[in-house]
Amino acid sequence: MRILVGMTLIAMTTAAAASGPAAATERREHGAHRHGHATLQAALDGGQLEIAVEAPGMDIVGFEHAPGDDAQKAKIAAALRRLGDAGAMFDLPEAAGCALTEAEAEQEALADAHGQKADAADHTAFHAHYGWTCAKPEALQTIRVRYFEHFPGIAEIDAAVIGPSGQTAQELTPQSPQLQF
Amino acid sequence: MNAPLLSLALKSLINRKATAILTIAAIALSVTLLLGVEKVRSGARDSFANTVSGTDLIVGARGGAIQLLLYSVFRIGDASNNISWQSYEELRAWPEVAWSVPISLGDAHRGFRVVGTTAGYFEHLRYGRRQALSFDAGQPFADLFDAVIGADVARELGYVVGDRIVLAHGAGAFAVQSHDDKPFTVFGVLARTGTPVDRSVHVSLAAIEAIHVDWQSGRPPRPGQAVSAEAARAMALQPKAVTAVLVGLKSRMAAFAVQRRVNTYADEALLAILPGVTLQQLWDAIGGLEKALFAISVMVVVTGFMGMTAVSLGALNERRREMAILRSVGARPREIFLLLVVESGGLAAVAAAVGAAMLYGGIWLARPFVQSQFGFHLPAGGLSAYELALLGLVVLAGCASGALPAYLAYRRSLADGMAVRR
Repeated sequence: MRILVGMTLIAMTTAAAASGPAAATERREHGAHRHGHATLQAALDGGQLEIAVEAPGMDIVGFEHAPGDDAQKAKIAAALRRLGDAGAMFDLPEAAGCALTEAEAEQEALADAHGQKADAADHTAFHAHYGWTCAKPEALQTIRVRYFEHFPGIAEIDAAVIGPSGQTAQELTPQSPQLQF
Repeated sequence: MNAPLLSLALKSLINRKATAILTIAAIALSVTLLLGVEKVRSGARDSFANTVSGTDLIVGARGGAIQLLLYSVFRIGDASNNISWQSYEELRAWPEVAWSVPISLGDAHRGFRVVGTTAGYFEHLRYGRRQALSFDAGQPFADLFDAVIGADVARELGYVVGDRIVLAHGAGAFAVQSHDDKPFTVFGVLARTGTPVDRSVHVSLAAIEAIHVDWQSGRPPRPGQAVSAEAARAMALQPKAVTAVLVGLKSRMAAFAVQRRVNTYADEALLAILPGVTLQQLWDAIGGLEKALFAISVMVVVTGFMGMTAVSLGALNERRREMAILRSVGARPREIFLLLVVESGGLAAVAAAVGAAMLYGGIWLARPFVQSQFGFHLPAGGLSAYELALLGLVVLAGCASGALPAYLAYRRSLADGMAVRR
C-alpha cells in the first residue's frame, strides 16, 4: 500500500513538473484515478448493448509507467488481448442471443495538463469497449462481469447502467459480479 | 378454551383498563415509528425516482452531482452555480439531443419556488411512469407575465386562473424584496403529480429577466430608475444564464457519450449527470443511516414489549385470586397459560392497529411539510406486504412477551389449585 501511495505521489509530482510553463488558455483539469477501482458503463436500447470499461493500469498489469523492457511490453500486449476477448470478460445469458459486433481495448495515458498523451506518462488507464446486438434483449436480465477473475487487482467496479427500466448505479465486487438490467 | 372463560378474561382486562390502555399506547407509538421509518424510506425512493423518470441527463455547473440533482429537480439543498445561456444554446444544437428544457431558480412566491423555464417544460417533463404533465385549468404561459402554478400552490393559496400574483426575490416565505411592480397572472393550473412540480410557480425565462431588468448589482432599483412592466415588455429579455438544463436524448445509447462530452466541454466547466445513477448514489450514501434508523425503531418496539412484560409480571401476584376463580370455573392450568399469552397477543394486535392508524394520521399531517422541506411526496397508499409482515411480527412478539408471565401463572395455578394460600 505504501509503495502504491508513493508511486501515485511520484506520478503526481512528475505530471505537475511536466506541465511547466504553459499558454494562458491552457486548461488544468484532472479526472479521478483510484487504484483498485474500475468503472463500467452499460447501455441497452432495443437490441443494442454497449459496455465500456476503464481500469487503472496498476490493476491490469501491475505498473503504470511506460514499459521498461520486453517483459513489460509483453505484459501490456497480453492484457490488451485479454481485454479484447469479450467472451472471457462477460457472461451473457444464452437466451438473449447476443452477437458480438465490436470489442476493442487500448491503453491510454491519463491526459496531463496539456492533454497530451506522452509515451512516458506515469499514470495510465486501460479502456475497453464492447458492442453486441441481441435477438431477445428482454432475456438480458443480468450479465456476469468476469474482470475480477482475470485481473485480481480490481477490487470493485462502479457501474452505471442505462436499461429499459431506467438508469441505475451498481457496485460490483468479486462476490457479486452480476450486472443487473 | 370456552366462551365463559374468554368473557371472564375480557372483563378482567377491562378491570385493568388504565394499564392496558397505557401499554397499548406505548406499543402503538413504537409501531408508528417502525412503520414510519419504512414509509419515509420507500416513499422518498419512489417519489424521487418518479420525479426523474423521463430525463436522460441534467446539465449544470461543475460541482457535486448530488447537489445538482437535489437543487435542479427537487429544489432542495444548496443552490448550484449557473451556466451560461451560450453553452445552453450550443448544447441544444447537438445532434444527439432530442429536447432540452432550461430552468432558472432563485425567486419565490409565498414560500413556493418560482421556476423560470420554457414552454417545452410542459411538453417534455415526465413523472411517475413516464406520464406527461397535464392541466387542470388553463394552459402553458403565453404572455410575458403569465404564470403556471402547481396543484399544491393552487390549493394552498386558493388561486384560480386569472388571479394576479406578485413574485418575491429570493427563496423562502419571508423574502425581503418583492417584485410588486410587475405582477403576474395565473394562466394555468397543473394537475397533481406528487412531485416538486406541485409546489412550483412556473414562468418564462424572459419573465425572470423582466422582473430583474431594473435591478442593479442585485439590489432593487433606486427611485426614478424603475422600469415599468410595460417598458420591460419592449426590452430584449434574453437570459444570460440558467441554473440547469434537463436533456432528453434521441437514443439512450448516447447518454454516456453526451455526458462525457459535457463533462469535458472546453468553454465552460459543466457537469452532466444521469439522474437515475446519481439518485442511486445518493441512496447508497445514506443506506447506513436508514439501517440505523430501522434498528433504533426496532429497539423502541422491543422496549415497549419489555414494559408490557414487566407490567403483567407485576400484576401476577394481584391476580392470584382471579386465577383461582378461573380454575374453579373449570379452567385447566394450560388454559391459564394460553389466556395470558392471548391477552398479550391481543393487546399487541390492538396496538399494531392503533399504530398503523396513527401512522396514516401522521402522514396526512406531515405531508405538506415533508413536500416543502424535503421535496418528496409521502404516499399514503396501503400497507405493503413488508409492512404487514412487520405488523405480524409485532403481534408475534406480543404473544412471546406474554409467555414468561403466562408460564409463571401456569406454575402457580398448578401449585395453588383453587385456593389461594397466603
